[in-house]
Amino acid sequence: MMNELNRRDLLGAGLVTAGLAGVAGLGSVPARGEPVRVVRQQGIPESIRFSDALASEVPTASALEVGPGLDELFGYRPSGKGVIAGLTSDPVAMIAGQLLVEAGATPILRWDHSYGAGRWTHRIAGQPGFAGVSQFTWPAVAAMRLRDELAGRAAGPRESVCASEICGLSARSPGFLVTWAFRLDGGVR
Amino acid sequence: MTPNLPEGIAAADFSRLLEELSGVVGKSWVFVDELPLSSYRDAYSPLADGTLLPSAAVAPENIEQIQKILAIANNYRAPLWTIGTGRNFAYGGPAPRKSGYVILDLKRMNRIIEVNEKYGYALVEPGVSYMQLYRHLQRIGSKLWIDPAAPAWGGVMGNALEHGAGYTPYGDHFIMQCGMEVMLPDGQVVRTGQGGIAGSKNWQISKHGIGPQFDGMFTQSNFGVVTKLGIWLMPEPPGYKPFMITFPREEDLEQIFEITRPLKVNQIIPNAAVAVDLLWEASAKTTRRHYYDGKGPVPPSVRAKIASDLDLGMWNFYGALYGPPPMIENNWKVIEDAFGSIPGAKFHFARENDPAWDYRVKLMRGEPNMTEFSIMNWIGGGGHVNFSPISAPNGAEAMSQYNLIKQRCHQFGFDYIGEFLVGWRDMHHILMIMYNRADEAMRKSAYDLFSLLVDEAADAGFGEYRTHLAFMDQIAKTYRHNDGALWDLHHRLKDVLDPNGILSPGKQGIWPKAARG
Ligand SMILES: Cc1cc2nc3c(=O)[nH]c(=O)nc-3n(C[C@H](O)[C@H](O)[C@H](O)COP(=O)(O)OP(=O)(O)OC[C@H]3O[C@@H](n4cnc5c(N)ncnc54)[C@H](O)[C@@H]3O)c2cc1C
Repeated sequence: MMNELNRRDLLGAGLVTAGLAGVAGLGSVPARGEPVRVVRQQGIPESIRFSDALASEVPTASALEVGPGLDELFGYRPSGKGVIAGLTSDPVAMIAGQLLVEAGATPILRWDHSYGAGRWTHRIAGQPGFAGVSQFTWPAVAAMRLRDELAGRAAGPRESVCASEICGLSARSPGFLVTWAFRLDGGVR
Repeated sequence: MTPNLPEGIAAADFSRLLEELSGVVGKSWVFVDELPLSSYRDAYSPLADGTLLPSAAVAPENIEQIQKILAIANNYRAPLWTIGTGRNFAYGGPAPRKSGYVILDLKRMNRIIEVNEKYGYALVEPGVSYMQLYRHLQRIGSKLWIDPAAPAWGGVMGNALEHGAGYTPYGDHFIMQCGMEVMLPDGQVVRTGQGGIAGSKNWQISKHGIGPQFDGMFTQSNFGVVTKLGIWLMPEPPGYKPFMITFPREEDLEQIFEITRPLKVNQIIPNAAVAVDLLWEASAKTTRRHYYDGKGPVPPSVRAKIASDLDLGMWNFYGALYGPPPMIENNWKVIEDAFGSIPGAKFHFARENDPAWDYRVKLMRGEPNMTEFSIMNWIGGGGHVNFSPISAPNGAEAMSQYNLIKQRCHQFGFDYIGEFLVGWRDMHHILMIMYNRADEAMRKSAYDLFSLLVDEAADAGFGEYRTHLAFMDQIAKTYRHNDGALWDLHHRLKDVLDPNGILSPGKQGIWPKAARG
């Protein structure tokens, strides 16, 4: 199950939760080698798998672990250049997005992953590719996609919606997750 | 640059206005580009996306700059929309009442001017968040507690000005506010209460002084820009005992509040206690899709399964006791006997792996956190708006309000997700209507449901204590007594204090003369 979306829909509309109208504000993908901070949401299995996968693929990645109260996000002061990214629940994506834009960060991408009717549906950039991926491994695939985006090896201009085979939902999953990334250019507003 | 010009201002004038604002605060504190302006949107809005967009934002750092900004706005008759920390989500976030307004963003003014350990208060600027004040008190080794609303990023001032609530005994924030400094639309600075005495030492100690008390006039209004606010802080008590009582039936609500009223009025239960419905409570730990994939409200059989799996009641009552341990134990006996009379009532003093219990226990002892946002996972897709009617702490009234609202929610296909928060003599009934923002039909339905509830609640004699931008005018019209005399008074004041209508036009349905026609 798949249909084409244009890049604006995918990158722009999704960013509404971070408060964005369209793609006008989207930053360019940072060069390879820049530090990547990965927000890892405690207890959320997809977030942990994503952050583990990204850490093993991107040598400059380091995790920012956030608990349910999100104290750590408030203690975090973005500084220097780099990327901050995560696969988190939707509310955490919204809160992080709000704080980061206010701090002067620029959104790079947002992909939605929602579970319903026994399947995961992914709204992602590039080739569909998620269709055959299992309930457990899709966060790692999302991490690979993000790694490619960061390295400027994105799969192309196509964007897509694809659904998984019938699968279960882990008890601790919020069932609606967002892969998101912001670019920090060194200045803090 | 954004095309959303303020109504009635030509592009060339708008450019000059921005230049003048930049002259006051510096170019880097005037925002006109799409990206920074995007942070002034309501991420959860029940309105179609792009409906309420500012033309610009200006962020002053002191009152002299605000004074100059107001003078410029008066000159151009430019509408400003004042925000403090700007986290008013569920009621509109930082977004303006209409597109084109210039946001007056006071986040940079975030000084904690004074913490008085002896008398238990703080004096703060508009940009001070709960988290900031909490961390400051920790840092200086203070033995004072704050009383945060559920979102830690909310503002001590913004929340109190909205008549917001927290969960300790100091939960009614406007009541706990003491002394304001306000800039009127013409730039004059006024201090309320004892602050009117030059060099007053008691500005944050007493709300009273000779003459009328004006503080309330600057809350949920557009008559001034509040630049300082005093807030009372509770001294850390020698003991703290949080508890939760679960009740197995929906109709237990009636008994719960018949029992709560005397306990609350007599201060046996001292804090802003809450009765939380099953799904609100469950949504902090699971989601709807874990239990039910169908359309419409979750059916009773599924609700029963959720309650059993999560060891919850149809209602879940949170309260806490504070003070010397013997006093706590004494009062607890009274509470236990009273609520124990409801069949099936179950008492909880600790719960394993329960994030809802954890965050409420923190809030009731003044520790800010953001955990409550996780309840939005129930539906996914972020949208929610709070319908917040006042109810009396009276079993029959609470039950009838609950039934009216639940019935309408179900009719529109939504789950009832709500709580009753008990104040000194009233209750805030908070219905959180949740929807997926990406589902246009669902968003529209949420809007229609809200709008219907406003009128039906008003017909039944209930008014809201606070509201989202989208419903301010509608709710203002429900205050109909004597031909809307109350809003006439608001408008008369508005015309005198702010003849050019520059401050937050339309806030709570209060419009300047020109906009009223
Ligand atoms: C999950 C969730 C849970 C919530 N729980 C609670 C809760 O427990 N209790 C509660 O009360 N609310 C709650 N809210 C609602 C809201 O998020 C908070 O009330 C929040 O504190 C309001 O935002 P703020 O403090 O940043 O105020 P702001 O957004 O800064 O201000 C609110 C309004 O006050 C006025 N204002 C602000 N500053 C000034 C000024 N200096 N001069 C004049 N006018 C001014 C403006 O009209 C502004 O729109 C909740 C929301 C969500 C999403």
